[in-house]
Amino acid sequence: MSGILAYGAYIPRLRLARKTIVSETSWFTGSAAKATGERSMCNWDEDTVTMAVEAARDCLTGFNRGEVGGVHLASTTFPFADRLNAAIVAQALTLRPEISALDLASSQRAATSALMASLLSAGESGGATLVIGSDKRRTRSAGALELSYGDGAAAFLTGEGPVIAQLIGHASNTVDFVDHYRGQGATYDYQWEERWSRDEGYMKLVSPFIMRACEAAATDPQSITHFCMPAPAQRLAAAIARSAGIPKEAVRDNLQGECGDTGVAHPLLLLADALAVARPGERILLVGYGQGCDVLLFEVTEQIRSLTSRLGVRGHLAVRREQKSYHKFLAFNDVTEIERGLRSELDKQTALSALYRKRAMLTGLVGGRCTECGTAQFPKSNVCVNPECNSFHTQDDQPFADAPGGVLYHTADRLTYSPDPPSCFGMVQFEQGGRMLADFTDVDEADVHVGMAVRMVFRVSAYDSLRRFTRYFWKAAPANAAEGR
Amino acid sequence: MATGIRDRVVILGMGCSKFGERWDCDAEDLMVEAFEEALTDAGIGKNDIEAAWLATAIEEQHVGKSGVPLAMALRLPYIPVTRVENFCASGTEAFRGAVYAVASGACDIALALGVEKLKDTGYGGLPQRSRGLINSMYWPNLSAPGVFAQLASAYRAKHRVAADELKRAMAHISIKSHDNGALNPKAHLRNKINLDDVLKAPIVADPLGLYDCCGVSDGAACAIVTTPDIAKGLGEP
Repeated sequence: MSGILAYGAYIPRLRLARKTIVSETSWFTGSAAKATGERSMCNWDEDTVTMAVEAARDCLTGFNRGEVGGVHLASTTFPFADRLNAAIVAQALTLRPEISALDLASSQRAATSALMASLLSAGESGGATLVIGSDKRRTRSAGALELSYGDGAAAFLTGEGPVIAQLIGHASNTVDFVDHYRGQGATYDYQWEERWSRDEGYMKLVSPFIMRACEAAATDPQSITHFCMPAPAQRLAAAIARSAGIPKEAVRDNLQGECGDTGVAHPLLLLADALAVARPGERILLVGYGQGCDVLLFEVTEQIRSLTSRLGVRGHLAVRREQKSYHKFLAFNDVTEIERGLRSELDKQTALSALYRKRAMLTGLVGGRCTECGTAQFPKSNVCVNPECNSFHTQDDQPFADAPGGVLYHTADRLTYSPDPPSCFGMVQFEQGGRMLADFTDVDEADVHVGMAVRMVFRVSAYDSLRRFTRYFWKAAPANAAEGR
Repeated sequence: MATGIRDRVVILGMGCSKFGERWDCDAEDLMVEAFEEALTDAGIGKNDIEAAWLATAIEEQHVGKSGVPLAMALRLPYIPVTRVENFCASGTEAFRGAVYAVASGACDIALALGVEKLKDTGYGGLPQRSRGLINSMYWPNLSAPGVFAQLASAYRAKHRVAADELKRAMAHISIKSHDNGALNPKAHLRNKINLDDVLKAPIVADPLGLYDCCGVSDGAACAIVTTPDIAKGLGEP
């Protein structure tokens, strides 16, 4: 049987309350509307690729990564226009090189189209396919999109085996309906009137295809228990459900209050959220919307009970830190120009030949383990670091990305340049052996202490603005946060 | 079997420039200032020097690479000039080179000179620079105070010392150094400070504050070394 084998999600730890945005922008918008809930926002070192890696790690919990045969990464905010972003994710996950990879873009339904394609071709590809949706859409200050958008990612493993959900029906339509767009080279979305978008778009383009997917599966829409409709307005999802004959209790929360609309990731995020509570036999209807729609109807299987536990949407929502400074949000997203100082001017050119040579180390955080004495070490080197051994050319690959570690010593550096000073870093001692000097991220300076448990995360290490090159590496984040502290 | 170099080398003369923010000087000026003093102190002529070592760490900020900048500044013709670099120990490294040269019998009189002209960056603190191609791709972007500051947290954890207690203990280092500086007309910082000054100074890299970190100065220092016999012949005690 083919279908969904696992799901995973990632929502950045930082959340910006909408009332914080409104209190700083109402002088211009004149809006007195009540602003409720919060939106997720990337830390300065997070982007579409780093979020995709985290969602994929969550998804692959308990799975052998060697079984992954393909990576489909969907987004409208890829850091690279010509460099396979899915390949960065694959390298970071240390997937084997003998896999296929695709970047899918240009529409809010890119991820559902990717998911559908992978489900329909399951069995034809060599192994399971990792389908990831991730988006970090930038918005102008004081606009409506700034309030409704959020950053996030979700990942699914599809293929044959113990599937937790099976695709039992699907339908798609494609219409050049443009309620918003982002032209080539543009930073921000351009949006048309919401009322038109609702009445002519959502209300007319979705319902008929929900019914078509249900007919294909000989399913009564009334039997749907989870309706995942990524519309920014919750009542819009309810209206679509009503017109399609789906019970109103089935309409799932669109997470607008918790993280906002995460763009391409959002339908997958809603599906991951539904699967976390779904019971065997239940039916989930997922819609991806943009220039038409994709409709996917799933039936949950008994296997859902034996899926290894994972953080998923709610687990990540629980790892939360309120970002109280609206200005910091603007700075992190380059909406406002910060005086970064002369120290920030250091040339950050990346030698592509060296990056390739060291790809396992730099992108995959793969170190070495000495076959003579067993010492784990990072980086992998020609001569074993153990002074009692010092053997030459004896090291096998030793992954460090998922190795638990603790802080051996640390500081908070206020002199060095950081986009979010002070720069916190220190020595990480891994439980498996080996240590490395690492940047810390997602930490509050006061919480760092010797012995603090850390988990390594894939992040932006530097952005070369001269050459528009994003450089990635791994950083240490508090492990307790990931456990939903 | 190595026998070491004890009693085989003496310092014939020392010199050093005034240290500080020498806005009016190039590295070349600082080298000459230190060298003239050392030469006078040694009581020899410039052309008595048979080999020289130049130490500088952040050469991209002033003189550039190689031993040529020293040979040019001091007009040292037709003698070997070696440039060495070993971070803050670079001056010692030059000195060791000159001492080894004399001890080995390779030459009679050798010169070691260290220079750093750091204040042409436009900002405070040590100059930002690359840490090497691969290192820059995975090391934290740490400042020099940040490198050393980490040791404090390890020391505290190992010896169970409270943060404020360690901070107070470390403060005496800077109080002592400022006391010494106040007595030295060539010192960059000549003001005495007290415990309160150190404890209340802005933090640079936790727990190191402004006074726990050395000032960034322009300056040069120079040593001329020779054998004990030659020194005696020149009337040195």
